[in-house]
Amino acid sequence: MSVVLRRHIPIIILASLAFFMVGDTLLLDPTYNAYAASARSVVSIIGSFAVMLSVTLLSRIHIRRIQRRRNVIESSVLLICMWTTIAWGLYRFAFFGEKPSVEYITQSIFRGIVSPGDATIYSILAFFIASAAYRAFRARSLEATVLLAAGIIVMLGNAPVGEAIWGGFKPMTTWIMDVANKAGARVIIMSAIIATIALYIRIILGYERSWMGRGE
Amino acid sequence: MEKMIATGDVELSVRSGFNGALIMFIVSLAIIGLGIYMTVKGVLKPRIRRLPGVDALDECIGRAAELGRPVHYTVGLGGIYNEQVIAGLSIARYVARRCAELGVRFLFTFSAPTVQPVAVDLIKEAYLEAGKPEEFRPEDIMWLSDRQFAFATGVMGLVLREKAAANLLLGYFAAESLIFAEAGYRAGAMQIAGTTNSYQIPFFVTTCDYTLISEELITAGAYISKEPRQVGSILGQDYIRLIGLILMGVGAVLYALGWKTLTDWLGL
Repeated sequence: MSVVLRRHIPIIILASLAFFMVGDTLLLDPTYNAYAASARSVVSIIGSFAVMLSVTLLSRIHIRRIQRRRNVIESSVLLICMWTTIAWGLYRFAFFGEKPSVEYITQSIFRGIVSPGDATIYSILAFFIASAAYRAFRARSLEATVLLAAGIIVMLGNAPVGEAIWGGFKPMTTWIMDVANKAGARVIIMSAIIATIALYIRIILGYERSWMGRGE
Repeated sequence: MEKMIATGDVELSVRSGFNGALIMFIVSLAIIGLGIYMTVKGVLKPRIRRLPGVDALDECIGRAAELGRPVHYTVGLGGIYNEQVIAGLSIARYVARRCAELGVRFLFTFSAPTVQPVAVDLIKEAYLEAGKPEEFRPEDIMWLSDRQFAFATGVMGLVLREKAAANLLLGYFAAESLIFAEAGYRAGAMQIAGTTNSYQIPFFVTTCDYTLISEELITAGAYISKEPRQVGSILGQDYIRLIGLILMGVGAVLYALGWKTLTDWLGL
């Protein structure tokens, strides 16, 4: 493939679309904004194709795993069976107009397996936070000591027992969160925004191509 | 007359006759362009300050080579349109190439399917650059799930099962960030993380060896490449920051004195 095809044309398309979408954010023109909305829907369509690609890749990996009988293959077999069911259902619906009659199974899987699973993993965070906090909150340096002190004050300010010990914890917590913490967070957000503008300009101008694979 | 338009979570105030956001965008473009021009022409020779997190990447990969264990890399939850994922992919290319050179297995995970075509192409290219295309394994580039905690479980399992020597978390992360980092800690992996999400940075700081905070992640690609045009854009970025600081200081003083024209002009 020539350099023009693999590098210049993608960058030209990208730059044109990028400026077009920037215009949509900055200008108020109904016609322009309507075209931009259409362009955004194209992104969704392309995204759908990416889902198909990922599903194909994942299937190939699991089929290969079953063929080679590597590691534990039960999850691979289950995954392939489920996708076969989906594909069969889609086929019956597309060609024979048969609506899925096993909707309750899908609902049951979500209610009985996926949602509790999500909740379980989320709840693990509580233990991980405790473990990470134990490691972090050790006064090994001045910065760590400040962190430790701030952490204790905020913790006591939010816990009912803190109020019972001393009434000053609550206003101190409010100050730490609303002044010190917010100021720091805003610095992080603003520096990220400025760096993002610079990144997009590098991409639009074709200077940053490392994410383009063969475009380099 | 003022109209409010919603673009995602941000509401931009667009006034007829004066569009502060548009002017700021054009000024940003001009300043970054100027920074690039002056650096390329050699008028200025900017130097990016050391980023220990990026410098430690080679140490991570070297450690993995010595231990004979893989390197795990994830860009997190974001799709290909997310700037943190783009930045993460830029670094992934470098890491994949170094892994290929040293014969270290490179495990790459992501959550959004849109990342897959780019990631496969990019990592394949990195192996080609290293002169070892035969060692590229497509099955090591894994889309685990687009559900947040299913993805988190998948990554946690992978890192612990494969006993990753290095756990690189560079991209867009939400509540699952600590799950990834704790899994790496339990696997005994050297960890480098980076995100612009201010809510997740504390988790990474407490659990990882190095953390790229906010813009450090986004500029890491330029830091690695050291290419004058990319370094020049960072110079421009610093100029914008300086102008922003001055505007903030002046704006705060003027606002306190009751003169609100500057904040009105900027659409704040």
